[in-house]
Amino acid sequence: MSVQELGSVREQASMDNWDRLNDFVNESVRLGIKDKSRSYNLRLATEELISNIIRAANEVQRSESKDVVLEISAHIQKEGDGSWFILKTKDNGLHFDPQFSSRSPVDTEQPIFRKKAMAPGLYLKQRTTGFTLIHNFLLDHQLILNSLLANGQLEALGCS
Amino acid sequence: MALTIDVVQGDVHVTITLSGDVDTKTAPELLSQLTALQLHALEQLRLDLQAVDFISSAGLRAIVFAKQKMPHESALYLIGASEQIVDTITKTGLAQAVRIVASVTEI
Repeated sequence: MSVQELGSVREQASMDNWDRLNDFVNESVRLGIKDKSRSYNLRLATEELISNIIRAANEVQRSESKDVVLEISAHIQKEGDGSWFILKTKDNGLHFDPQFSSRSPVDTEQPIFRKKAMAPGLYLKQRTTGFTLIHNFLLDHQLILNSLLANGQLEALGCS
Repeated sequence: MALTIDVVQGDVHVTITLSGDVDTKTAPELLSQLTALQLHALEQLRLDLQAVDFISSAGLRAIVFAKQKMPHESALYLIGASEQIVDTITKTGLAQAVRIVASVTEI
């Protein structure tokens, strides 16, 4: 097995740093995944992931006046004839609740246009829409998310 | 990548031409432009996506917002969307609510 590092970026999880965080992801995906459709879908999923981390970081900033730092790294791992593109995020913001992770909070099979939010408000609609997108693309495009609970770390893997 | 938005008001329709990426950072600009329209009275909205490389879920939400504000019988056309964007729109079920065409001549 060999590993090719593609670098990392470490910034405060804030929309002010959106361009730096997103540009790193886009460039890493471009280097790591040649298939146009897969790279597009991984970009779609990671964009959703980063925006969710920033949204959660904003909540922490408001409630605890604590800055959340987001670190994103990427590498290509070659195993035999195949290879994996691995994108890893790590932050010191809100942890996943282990109880929450065992169940889906929304019906991920329902098309978003017909989705009826469990409560009114654009906020919930945003969250459910994003969840659906990630879920569908993970299933359809051989992408794997590996969450290390209470460790602020999440990996997105895609066949390159 | 920055997003540029060009809005042209016709007699019965509005054409919005987008260029760049519609992502978490830029989608609010599109939403703002859509909010400024009289969507509830619009017969037809045309979104020209020929120069759009990427639409995230935030961008899709803006499109859903527009469709939901428009009269039920009105039409929302997505023009010239890339294969990847059409794939996203189809997978999310949004294709049931909009009309996807390759060029404006198909309208």
